[in-house]
Amino acid sequence: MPNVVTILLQDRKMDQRRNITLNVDNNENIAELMKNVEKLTNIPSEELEVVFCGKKLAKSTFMKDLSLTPATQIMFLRPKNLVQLTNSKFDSNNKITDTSILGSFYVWCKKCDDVQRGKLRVYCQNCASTSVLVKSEPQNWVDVLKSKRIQVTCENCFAPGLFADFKFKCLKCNDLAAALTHVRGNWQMTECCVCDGKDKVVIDLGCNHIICQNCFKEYLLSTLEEFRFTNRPPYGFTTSCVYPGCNRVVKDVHHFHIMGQSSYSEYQRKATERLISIDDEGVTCPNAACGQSFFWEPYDDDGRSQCPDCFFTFCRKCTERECTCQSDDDLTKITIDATTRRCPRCNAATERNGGCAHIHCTSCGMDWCFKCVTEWKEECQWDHWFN
Amino acid sequence: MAGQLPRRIIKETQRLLADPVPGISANPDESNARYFHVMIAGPDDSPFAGGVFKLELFLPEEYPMAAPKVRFMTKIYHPNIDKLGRICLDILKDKWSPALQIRTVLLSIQALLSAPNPEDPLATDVAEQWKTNEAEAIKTAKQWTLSYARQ
Repeated sequence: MPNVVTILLQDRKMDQRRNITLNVDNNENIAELMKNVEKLTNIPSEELEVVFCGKKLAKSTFMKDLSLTPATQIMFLRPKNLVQLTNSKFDSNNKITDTSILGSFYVWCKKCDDVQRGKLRVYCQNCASTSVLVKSEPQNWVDVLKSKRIQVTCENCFAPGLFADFKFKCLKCNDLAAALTHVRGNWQMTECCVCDGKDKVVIDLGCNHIICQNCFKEYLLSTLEEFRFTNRPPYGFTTSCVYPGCNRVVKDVHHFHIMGQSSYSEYQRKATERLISIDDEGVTCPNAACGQSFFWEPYDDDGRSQCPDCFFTFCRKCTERECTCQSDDDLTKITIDATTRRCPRCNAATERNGGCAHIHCTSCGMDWCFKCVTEWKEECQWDHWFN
Repeated sequence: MAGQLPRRIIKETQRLLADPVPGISANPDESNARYFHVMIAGPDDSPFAGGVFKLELFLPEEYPMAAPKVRFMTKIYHPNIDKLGRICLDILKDKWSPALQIRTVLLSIQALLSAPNPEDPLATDVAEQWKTNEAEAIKTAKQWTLSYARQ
C-alpha cells in the first residue's frame, strides 16, 4: 500500500536543509527508502542517517512498523563528519529500533471516543521540531509521562541542555490522545478475574489481576453509582483493583473515560463536589437548578458568595439568598442541628435513623462512632454497640 | 439482555454442580436460574456439627458487580446471624468484589460457622451471651442445632 512521507533532510556537510515528499511502499524498509533519497538528491546513502522518534533507525526497519501518516516527518541527517556519528553512543546500542515504543501501548482517544492503540512521538521542548535524537532510551512510563527526564539533541535549534517533549497519538485517527498506562495486550491470554473471558486487550493495575475492558467498565459504573471512589492524593478520586484484598489503585483518571462520556462527566462533577465538601473554602451552589461546586475567595468576606456558574448569591451558612442565620425562626437549621451529628472528618450532617452506633460516612468513607463523634475504635465496639 | 443469563452465571453453576465444595450443596431453582437452594453442613469443630442448614442465595440483576443476597432459612444461634437469617459478613456488603464467586461466598459462610465473631454482631443478644458466657452460648447453639437443623 503506497503512502506519502515527508522527509526533512538536514545536510550538515553542505550546510543545507530541504524538504522532500516521497511515495513509499509500506512493505519497503529503510534501506530502500535511503536508495530512493539517494536517487533524488545524489547524496550517497552511506552518508545518511535516518532519525525518527528521537532514534536512529536500522536499515532493516519496515515502513509499516513506523505508523506513518502524511503529516509525519522523518529526518535524514548527513553529518559533517560521518565517523563522529557512527562512533556515537547511539550506535553502540544494537537495538536501535525498539518497535515496542512505536505502537504496542494504548491511549484514550477523545475523537474516536474509545481505547485505541497509540503511538509515541518525540519533539524538541524548545522548538517543537521532530529533528531530535534522544540521548537515552525511555525505560518506563515515568520517563515519557514526566517532563525533563530524557535529554535530546535537536538538529533544528541546537539549543543546549534540551529535553524531549513526548506526545501520544491515536494510531487510528492520528489525534493527540491520553496514554492509558494500565491498559495492555493480553500476551499470555490470561482469563479476566470477573467473567473468565480471554480478551486481547485488558486492564492491569500492575498487580497482574487481569480484568477485561467490559468488566472494568461495569465495575467503574457500579462504583460511580454509589460514588465509592475515594480520594487518594496525588491520584485524586480513584478506585482499587477488583481483586479482593488487592490495594493497587487506578493511578490516572483518564482510565475512567472507559465508562463513556456522560458517566465520566458525572464522575468529574461528583469528585469535585466531594473535594469541595472536605475543604473549608469550598461550597456548593444551593440553587436547585445549578449545584455547581466551587472554592470561595477568603478575602473581603461578608459570609456571602456568588456562584461563578449561575451567579446566584447566597449566605454560605444558611444557603439562603436572604440570610436567615440571625433569625430565630430558622426551624430547618435548628432541626438539622438537633437531629444530626457531624462526621468528624468531612463535617457532613449525619442522622442516625436506626442500627448501631457504628457510622460509615457515605460522604468521605470514614468509620466513626455516633456516641463519641470520633473515629470508630475497639472501645466503641465493646461499649457503644449495645445502647 | 433482560432475561438472558450471563455466561459467568452459567459457568459458575456448571462448576458448582460438577465440582461441589465438601459440605456444601447449591442447586439452581427449576424456574429461576438466579435463585439457588443451598445446604451447608455444620462444621465438625463447631457447635453446629451434625446439623444441616438450609439457605437461599439470589443473584441480583447487577451480579457480579453487586454481591449475591444470602439468607439462612434454618433457625441458627449465631452472633453474626439474626433471627431473620440475615448474615453479617463483610464480603456480602462493603467488601464485595466482582472477582468473588458463589463458591467463595459459601465457603466464607461455612468458615463463619466455625469461627463466630461476636465483635461484629448482628444478633446483639446472642453476641452478648457469646461474650459474657461462651460455654452457655455454645450449649444453646448445640441445642438449636439439634432442634432445628437435624436432617
